[in-house]
Amino acid sequence: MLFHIGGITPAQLPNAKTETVRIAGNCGICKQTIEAAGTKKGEATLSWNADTHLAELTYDSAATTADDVLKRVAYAGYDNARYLAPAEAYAALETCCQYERAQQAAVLTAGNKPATDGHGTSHAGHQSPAAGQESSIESVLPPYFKLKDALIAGNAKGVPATATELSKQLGGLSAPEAKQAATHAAAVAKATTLEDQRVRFAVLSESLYRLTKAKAPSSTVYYQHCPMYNKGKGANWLSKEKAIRNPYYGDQMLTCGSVVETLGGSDAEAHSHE
Amino acid sequence: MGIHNICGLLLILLMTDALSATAQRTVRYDLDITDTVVNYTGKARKAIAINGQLPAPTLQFTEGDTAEIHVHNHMHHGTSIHWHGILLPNEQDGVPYLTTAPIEGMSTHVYRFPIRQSGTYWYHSHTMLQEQIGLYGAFIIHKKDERPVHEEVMLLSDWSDENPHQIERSLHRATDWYGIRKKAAQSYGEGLISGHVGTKFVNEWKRMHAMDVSDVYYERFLMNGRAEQQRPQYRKGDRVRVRIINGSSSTYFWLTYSGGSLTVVASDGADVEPVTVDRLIVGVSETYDVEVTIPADGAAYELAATSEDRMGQVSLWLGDGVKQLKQPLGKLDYFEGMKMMNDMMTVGGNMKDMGMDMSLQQMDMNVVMYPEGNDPKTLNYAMLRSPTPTTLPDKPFRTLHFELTGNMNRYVWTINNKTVSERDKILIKKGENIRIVMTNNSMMRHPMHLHGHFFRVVNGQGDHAPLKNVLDIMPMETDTLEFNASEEYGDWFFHCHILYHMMSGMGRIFTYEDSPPNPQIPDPEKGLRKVYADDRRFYLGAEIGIESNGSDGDVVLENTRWAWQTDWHLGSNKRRGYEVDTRFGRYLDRNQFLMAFAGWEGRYREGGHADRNWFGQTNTKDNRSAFHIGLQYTLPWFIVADLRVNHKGYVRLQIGRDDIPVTARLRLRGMYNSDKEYTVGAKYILTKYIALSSHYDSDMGWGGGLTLIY
Repeated sequence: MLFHIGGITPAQLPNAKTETVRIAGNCGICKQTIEAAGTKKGEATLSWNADTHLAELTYDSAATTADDVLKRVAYAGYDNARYLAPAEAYAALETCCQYERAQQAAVLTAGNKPATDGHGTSHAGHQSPAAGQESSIESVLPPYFKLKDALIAGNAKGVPATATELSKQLGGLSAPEAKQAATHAAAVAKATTLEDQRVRFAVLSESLYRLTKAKAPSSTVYYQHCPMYNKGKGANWLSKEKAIRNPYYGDQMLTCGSVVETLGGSDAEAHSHE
Repeated sequence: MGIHNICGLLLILLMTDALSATAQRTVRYDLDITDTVVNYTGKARKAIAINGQLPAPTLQFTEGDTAEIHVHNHMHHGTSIHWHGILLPNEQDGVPYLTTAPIEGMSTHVYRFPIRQSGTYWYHSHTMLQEQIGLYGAFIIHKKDERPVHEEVMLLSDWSDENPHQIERSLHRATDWYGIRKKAAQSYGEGLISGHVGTKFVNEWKRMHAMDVSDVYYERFLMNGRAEQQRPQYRKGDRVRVRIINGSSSTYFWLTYSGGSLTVVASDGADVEPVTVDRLIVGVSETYDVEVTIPADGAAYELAATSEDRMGQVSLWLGDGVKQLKQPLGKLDYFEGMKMMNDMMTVGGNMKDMGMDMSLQQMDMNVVMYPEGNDPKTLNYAMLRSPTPTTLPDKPFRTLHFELTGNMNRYVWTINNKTVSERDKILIKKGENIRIVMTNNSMMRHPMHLHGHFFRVVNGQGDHAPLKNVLDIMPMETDTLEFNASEEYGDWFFHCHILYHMMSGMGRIFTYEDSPPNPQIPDPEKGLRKVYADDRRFYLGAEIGIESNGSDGDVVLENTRWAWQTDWHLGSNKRRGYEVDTRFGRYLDRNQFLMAFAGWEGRYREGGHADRNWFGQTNTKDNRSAFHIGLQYTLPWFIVADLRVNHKGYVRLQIGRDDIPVTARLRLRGMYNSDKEYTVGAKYILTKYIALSSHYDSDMGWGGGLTLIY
């Protein structure tokens, strides 16, 4: 972790501080917009990875803060670790850039639609998105963990079957995150080499992370991060164990990584980031 | 016997019970006022703290309490506290020298009054410009049977690093330094680029300076003294009542919420039937109670207050977790506003509404400047409805017509073209009904505030017209207010709550007939002179060029009506000559375009020769000393014509134009007179007080150097 951060610090900025931050987004256009919004000459540089949805933020800590940079990114339409984009900014994004939003923000758009014929009714729609599907996340996680374990073991042959099973389970959920995750799982199933499986697994893990976060499973799930994968751009995965077992490198670097976030588990943990 | 005893005991018990239920609870607060130093921007600045904090602490009461507030003034100068919106005996109202004794330096004053209302109010100094530097706080009164609810106070204010007296002086000098700082100077160059140069020309033709929605540049906007605050305790579904108080000196704020719509439930302390909107504007000194809902867990939703000029915003975050932003309000399109103003303003300086019958904030002309258009559902006064009838007692009405008037260029603000000191108090009889029909014939909006009374805003809601004590009236609007003279006695101020408008005299004093002597004002005549002195003050201004060919300069000392102007042209040697001209004059017309003056001029120049002027008169330039009388008139496009005759009968006509904004900072000037003298010059504004300058003078030739602007 340490050597990794030291390795990418650009030398130009004084008082330079570097952070890895999560920024939602989909594609190359997103990358351009995000980086343009966050980068400010002489103050901050931002480099975002479309696969991992993680960005390297380097900034002059005497001139600005990570908070300021991430606020600009959110005003440009992209949800991130500190700020959720204004509804208008998100709606103004290209269709291909309209990533799946965090539930806290999605709730607003869902609530606004029925309110067209009058104000004051927007609270009524709030319960619906999450309701009724609570138990299904529990049926999705076991095949995912099985898939992950196959990658840890470097067992490429075991991957397609579990990935197909996972895709099927995800297809049974109605949440939009699940639909996306199902496609990514199917992509993992189609990959032929271990390397390719891992690349696609990183993308799958992202969308499954969002789904898991929204549905809050009854048992604790750990969201873990490997900073080295993909030439230092990093990647994430979900695990039911807190201890790190890295699916991206297997034996080579089994315990490299860290817990980024704890999801689900006992009911009180849902809003514990602050 | 035994039964009697028991009955007697019961009776006593019942009586004590009843007594304790009606007994007033006295709630005491001690407010220690001290000078302090604050640092909002990296610069230490003088301010005023109350109990060590800025803004002042929130005072909480319950209806039926008696408030006992001990104000300890630890400063070396006087202060005062006015309880804004509170119904109270006149001597507790806190207008120094008018209703209440001033709180002298190093002394204590005790306010004591029963609380006979509930709602969101505030308190602030009514002494000079102290409110601008921190002397304001929230005053919250809970209903007797009120169940506890989630509630927050959002006390809004504006902060400038500049001394407020300098701000005030600069406004009277029509500085556009604030416009430069806001990037809102609206020069010809900017007009050319954006295709609005014609608009700018017409605007100046109609003698209007750059268009803006607020006059002062504030470095910071604050909410409870901070840029933002977070309240993480709220969860999904919680409904939070936010008591919003605009305690700023001159800033209106737009309120928007990222978690959904806003439900307005009270205004100026009085309940209204809930009305749901996307946004509302809170006028200076107004209060609104607004309810918002937390839509989901895991996020903090932003209640944003944005200054009307869109220069800044403050945020109250409700909830815990990642912060859900509200789309910020876009930058104003000033040239569109200018175009609109051009249509509304006559060359004669009157506002015309083109038959639109504007009232009650229903047609916000500023919308032309808003990039977001008029789509969001916006609150206006016609939407406010009192939950209970507010009809006045069946008494005769007396109707007063107030025309709000002003001169933007000289920052003179008046009612019916008179300041507070230029008009007698308005006598009212206890019990009578007063109706005020108010028309805003000025270019700015004005939040008009009545002390010690609620008025009903006649807004089409019939018997349920809402009660308020501040009414924001936009340019060209006509609104009607009604109130019953329900107090016992005393003097009650009615004024514009924009601090710098109030101090220039935009107000009236209502006085109850046959009021008893006020023990706090032992010498009412002397007190009134003190009150009137506020709008009679003179403001100093100067522009002094120090250039290679000598010094050109002028110094002015002006108040509402009178002006003393001195200017000079001092050459670098005797051949170039020396000229001094000083005059004392009075502005005559409502728009203050015309001034009559008398004065003296002197000049000396070696080797000067006699010239014939336009009028065929000859005049030596080498040695002259003459008294003169004359007229100055500001023509369209701000060309000032000066026609004068001296005691020898010599006539001179001069026309000139200063400060033509070519770009935001580059200004041109020119002058020509009947003695065939002329000047052209340019300056480039570096800071508020310093400009690079150069000019050519027909007597003194070319020069370049610095111009100091004060």
